[in-house]
Amino acid sequence: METVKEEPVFKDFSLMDESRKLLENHFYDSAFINEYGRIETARSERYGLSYSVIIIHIESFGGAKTAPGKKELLKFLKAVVSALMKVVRTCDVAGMLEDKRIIVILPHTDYFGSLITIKKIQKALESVSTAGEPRAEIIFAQATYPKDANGFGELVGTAGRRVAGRLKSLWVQLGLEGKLFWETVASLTSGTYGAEAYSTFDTGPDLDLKNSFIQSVNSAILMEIARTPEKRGILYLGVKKVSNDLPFMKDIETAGRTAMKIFVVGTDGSSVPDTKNSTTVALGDHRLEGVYFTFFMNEDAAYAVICRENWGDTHNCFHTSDEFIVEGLITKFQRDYSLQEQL
Amino acid sequence: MPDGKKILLALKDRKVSEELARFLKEKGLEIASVEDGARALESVLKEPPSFIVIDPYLPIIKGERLFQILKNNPHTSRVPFMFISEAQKDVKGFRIGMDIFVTRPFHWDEIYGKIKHTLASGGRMDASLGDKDLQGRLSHIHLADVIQMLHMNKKEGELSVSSPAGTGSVSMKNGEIFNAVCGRAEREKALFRLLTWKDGTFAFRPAAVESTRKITLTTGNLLMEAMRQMDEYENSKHLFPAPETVLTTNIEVASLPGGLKPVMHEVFNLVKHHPVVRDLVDRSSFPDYEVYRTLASLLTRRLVEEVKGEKREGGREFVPPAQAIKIKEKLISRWSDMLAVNFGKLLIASTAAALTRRFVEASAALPDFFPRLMDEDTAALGRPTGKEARMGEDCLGDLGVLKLYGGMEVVFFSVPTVGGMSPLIKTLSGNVIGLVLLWDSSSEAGIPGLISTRNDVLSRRRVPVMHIHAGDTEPDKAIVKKYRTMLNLKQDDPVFTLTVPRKDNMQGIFQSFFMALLKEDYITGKVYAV
Repeated sequence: METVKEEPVFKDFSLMDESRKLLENHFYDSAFINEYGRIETARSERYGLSYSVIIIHIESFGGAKTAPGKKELLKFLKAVVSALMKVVRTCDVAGMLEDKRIIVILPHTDYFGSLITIKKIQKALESVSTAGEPRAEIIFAQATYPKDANGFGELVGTAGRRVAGRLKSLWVQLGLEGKLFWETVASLTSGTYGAEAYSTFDTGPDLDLKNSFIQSVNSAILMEIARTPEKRGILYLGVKKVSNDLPFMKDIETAGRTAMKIFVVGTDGSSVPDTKNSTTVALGDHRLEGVYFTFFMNEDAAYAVICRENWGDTHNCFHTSDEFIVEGLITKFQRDYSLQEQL
Repeated sequence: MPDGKKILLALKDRKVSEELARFLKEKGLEIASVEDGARALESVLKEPPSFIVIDPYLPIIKGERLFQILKNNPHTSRVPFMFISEAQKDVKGFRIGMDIFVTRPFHWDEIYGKIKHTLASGGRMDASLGDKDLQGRLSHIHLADVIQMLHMNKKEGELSVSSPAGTGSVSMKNGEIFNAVCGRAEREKALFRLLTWKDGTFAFRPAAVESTRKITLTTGNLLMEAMRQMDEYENSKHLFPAPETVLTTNIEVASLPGGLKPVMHEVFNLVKHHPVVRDLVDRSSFPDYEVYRTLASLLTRRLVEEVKGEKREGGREFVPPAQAIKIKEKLISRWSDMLAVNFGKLLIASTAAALTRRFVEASAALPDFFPRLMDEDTAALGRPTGKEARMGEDCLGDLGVLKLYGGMEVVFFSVPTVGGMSPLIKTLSGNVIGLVLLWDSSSEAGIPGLISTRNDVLSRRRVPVMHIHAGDTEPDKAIVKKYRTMLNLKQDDPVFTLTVPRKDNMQGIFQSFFMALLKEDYITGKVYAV
């Protein structure tokens, strides 16, 4: 049987209509959601709080062998909503925003809080499938008031644009979601890219960028962290072997107290104790010997650079400021090495 | 009245503020006064007061907005506010029972009574030690006594000190001082500076100290030495050159006699690059007293001499205060992150590393500019220079900081111009306020890189761009014309030059930049919006 390439399920009827048949408590329609969103904005403005919205966009069932029928779809939607309602808090408000799109309003939740909620929802939806078929391609995006917008409509618009951005992202194009961390690294460093959000470059003794460039990048990021120490975020610095002689160790030490979680990852780091700012992660994996990486994410920016060692002391590097790819790399890294899943 | 309570007066009427401050001081309260919202925010974040008396219509950041910001900051959320206004006003988030609204006219005693009542009823989660072991005011106990106490009890952790002069910290392990930091200074120099502070607060936070020991003297000896140096400085300061004095060297470094102390070598080298005494003392790694004593000795031996008739105020502002406040005001209105307004980045893109170096050297002529590039003399001394040492061929990273009035810093940040750097530039472009493009007559091949960087930056945020010819020879008119064409510059877009002798005044270049920043509709666009 041929794989269904298009989106047959959305041709005949709308998920929006089907959602009305759901009996799930506290799962609302778009009219209620819009009204509640306006109230939440007013409340947050009044008390100077932040709140976030998450959009769960059901893109297609491209991986399914057969197109799910109306009955299967309703069952699927029920399962999605049921799983969703189990992980959101009682104060969160979820509902159907429009066709294919579910929205969750998270009161009193900042950027990182919403990312954590996305992770929880993703995990909960992993087991949801359509009659045993692979799960649907679901895209998540968030936006936070007042960081991203001044009103509910604008906030939903920002999250919507992020969904569209993610659909076009290299992550989706290369189908990286289903790959393991090292497969993903191999995919990213083996290609040649030149887009605004992601590109490749080489470093080496006779090239425009020397091998020390990655050290400069790490130092610049650590300076950025030291400059705004109150900003929360996460930074992974992957090296062959963790040692106190690494150039960035001094930068970490002198950065002062920061809200950033910094992890220095290497094959061996037993001789290097954790510092006030960083935690050493020794993985004992030989694959780390040929690759340097930096994954950085805070509420304003995301950046990842991966450099694979090549012949003649040169490196092929891939770097990106696409928050979707950076977040995906961090998540995969944490999962594949059974590290605590955090952002 | 509970002891040691600090009240912040943020009133736009200076006369009322002064009179009220005098009255409250007589009642035994410690008072700090500011006249605009930006200063009030800075002051509170540096050292949260016990109570804030504020005008809702303060300049720069309105009192009400400041209230919203501080109310949402976990460190200041429990500080009560007293609004003083002509008429009753609905303040969003006003906390009944905690905040107070007073309408004019009022009586001084009424204000004092309300403050006293609020503080007595514990309006603020005051002096909550949290994870701090010990905290207090330097006006009550000298820092040396605090250190002595921690030494006797063999404590381990970090002692933070904050005063109007700045902030600093001392790391201690097993009662011994491992290191001290004060602004850009560290080790003994920083500690000795901290010990001269008589006003401000301290807090000791117990924590494991993992850093390596940088101060080897025992705490007892260190404190004795600090006291000796402080006394000596007081007794001999009339012999030392004034901070604004400009110096020059009479002989070359190579001609210096052998066997001199390292401090002599360092100070002599520093005179070459930082002739103003205040700058020189600040940049030396030796304690201030030793530097002054060395300078006095060099002057006596005529190895160094004073440049007559030339005095430079180390602390004077290059950008007038009114302009600096306007810049800050503009940034506040454009950026949603209020705390990020303490610095703005000036991105520097260059066709060659040598041009970047020349630009930074020329920027040293700006008062209150602190370069971070490693100079050769400092390298020759073999002193560790930290981050600046790694600013090399890659042209990525901090080059220096220009400090403006009101606590704002302009960070000079170099970005690479090779292809494919867009993701990196995007990530490091937070708070960008301007772009400098450096080129010379031989860098035609590098111009496309400059164009690409410029387009990259401007596609995310509209900022002023400075075009500077930084070569060592006079630019040919045809070359300038070609550059203008390649970059599609308008007729009135200035192209500056650093070439001797037609060297454009660096202050003039930056005045032009700040004027443009204020005049045009710059700093628009959200850097990180998808």
